[in-house]
Amino acid sequence: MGIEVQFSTLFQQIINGLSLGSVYALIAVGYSLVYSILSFSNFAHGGFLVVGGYICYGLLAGFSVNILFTVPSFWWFSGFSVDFLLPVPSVNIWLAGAGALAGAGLIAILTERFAYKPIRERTSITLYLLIASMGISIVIENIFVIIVGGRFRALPPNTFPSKLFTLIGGVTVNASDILSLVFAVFFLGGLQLFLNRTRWGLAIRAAACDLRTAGLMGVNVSQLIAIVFFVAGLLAAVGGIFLSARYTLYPQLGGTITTKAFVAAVIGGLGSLPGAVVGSLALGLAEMLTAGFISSQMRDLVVFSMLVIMLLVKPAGFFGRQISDKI
Amino acid sequence: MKLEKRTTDALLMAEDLHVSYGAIRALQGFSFRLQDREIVSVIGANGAGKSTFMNAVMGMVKRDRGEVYLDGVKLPGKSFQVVQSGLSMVPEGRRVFAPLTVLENLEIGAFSRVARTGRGSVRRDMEWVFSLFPRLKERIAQPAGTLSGGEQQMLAIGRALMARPRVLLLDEPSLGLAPIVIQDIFKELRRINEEGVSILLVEQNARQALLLSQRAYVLQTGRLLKEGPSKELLADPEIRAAYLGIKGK
Repeated sequence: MGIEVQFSTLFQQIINGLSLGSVYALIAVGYSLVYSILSFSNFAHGGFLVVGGYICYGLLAGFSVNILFTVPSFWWFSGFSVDFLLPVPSVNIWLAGAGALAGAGLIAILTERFAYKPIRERTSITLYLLIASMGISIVIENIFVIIVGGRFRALPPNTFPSKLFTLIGGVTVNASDILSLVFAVFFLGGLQLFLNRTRWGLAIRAAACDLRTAGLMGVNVSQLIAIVFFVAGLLAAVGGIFLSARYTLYPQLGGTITTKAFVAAVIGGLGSLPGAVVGSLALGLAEMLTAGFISSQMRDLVVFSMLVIMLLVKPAGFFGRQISDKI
Repeated sequence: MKLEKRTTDALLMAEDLHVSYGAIRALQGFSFRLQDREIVSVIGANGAGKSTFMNAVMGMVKRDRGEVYLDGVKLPGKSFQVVQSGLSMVPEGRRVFAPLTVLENLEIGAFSRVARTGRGSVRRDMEWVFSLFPRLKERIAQPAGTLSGGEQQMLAIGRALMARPRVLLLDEPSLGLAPIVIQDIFKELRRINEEGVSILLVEQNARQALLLSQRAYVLQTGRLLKEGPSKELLADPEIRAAYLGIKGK
């Protein structure tokens, strides 16, 4: 009897772990993609996820924008101001999701354009980009603290199906877990197709190997970087939506998750996309198995122990880039 | 008086190029011409400014002063636009995309024009590259990083040709290659030129460069030392002593 219970817990936690790991993968892959092109850890990546989460939340619940428009007075003209509330109606999850993906992608492009590009053009030292990204993550966090407040929010109930399925052996699976797994596979597969089957995908893979030489091939490098950031932001938003459905949404969520994505990417090998997926799944499984068999509070301890062990045993990660340039 | 539009018989022309890296003045007023279907080489010692010159033409480094004209039209400043206007470069050290296959390396070479000319012409050009370098066809599905140095150089040249350039620029194509491989590659360069592609060659291997090219420029610490027909430079005692390692007659 005891063994049977253990087995069903194991099975259940594996499904939970894969589901959580696949959400981490969406975030880690975008993070790794940016790293592979620009060789810096974009700590603002979690910010894109929060942007996506809040856009989705706002569009589902409906909100209003306070528009304050002031024309100043000068000489004989007395100025006036218009102040009104523009209501944004609540929409269904498909539209809200699409809005979140596009919005986060756009914010990612703007972040690159205004925070990173000016630095990139002046210096090749990537440490400055890393520091700027930390700054941006604080900026995004605090923008949300100011405009929506710091409290925890949950997506409206019934946004996602929450039906429980009972499988053989008493294993119960939540429909939303399966849903997030399916969507993660769908988007990661889409990314794979984009990278392997399109002209820009090929250019991105070339740029990941050597950005300067990709420019010599007639690739508009600025446009390429914008595309990469859009894709990274979009994938982060998908992750953000499912994370806020699974847990709750709050402005500091980005920081927590960026750390997880960073650990997953390092375990898999920084800059490697298959590595990011494998690392994320390993992380999700480790977290859920720890929660199921040891204690929920030990989750992060296990995660960071994995990082330390990996760095000691195989610092390049599972799929780390090997340096094999011929001279 | 300066004219806005240059009427010149030169295909590629650079005037009074200045480039500096901080306080180091790498190129100090170099002017240059290349006729249609000509092979011109730029030779000089390490640090003479050869690569800087090439990078300045391609928009890879910022020019302090001077302009480059292709067919009398000013070249744009960004590298991808330069490639679109008809120049293509084989960078120093080959720089093939190691994890990508030979086929993918050639495809990326056609990036700037595939939308304009269509996939059919990309396939035709690839066949042309394979006729020049049959070894590439044998290794078509292999990652470029697994090729030998000579094969990587062939791939880098093939990749540059996929852009359908009017002028092919090569930065030190002989670097690190065995003499027999260098012979092969220079033979193919002559064939590429005979098919209508003008060639600008930057080389430390002065002898090979002078044997291939019709005219040559000799650079020394960012300035022009000498220019002339390659045959004359090969016979010039000063050049022979300084760049060919031959003393006396």
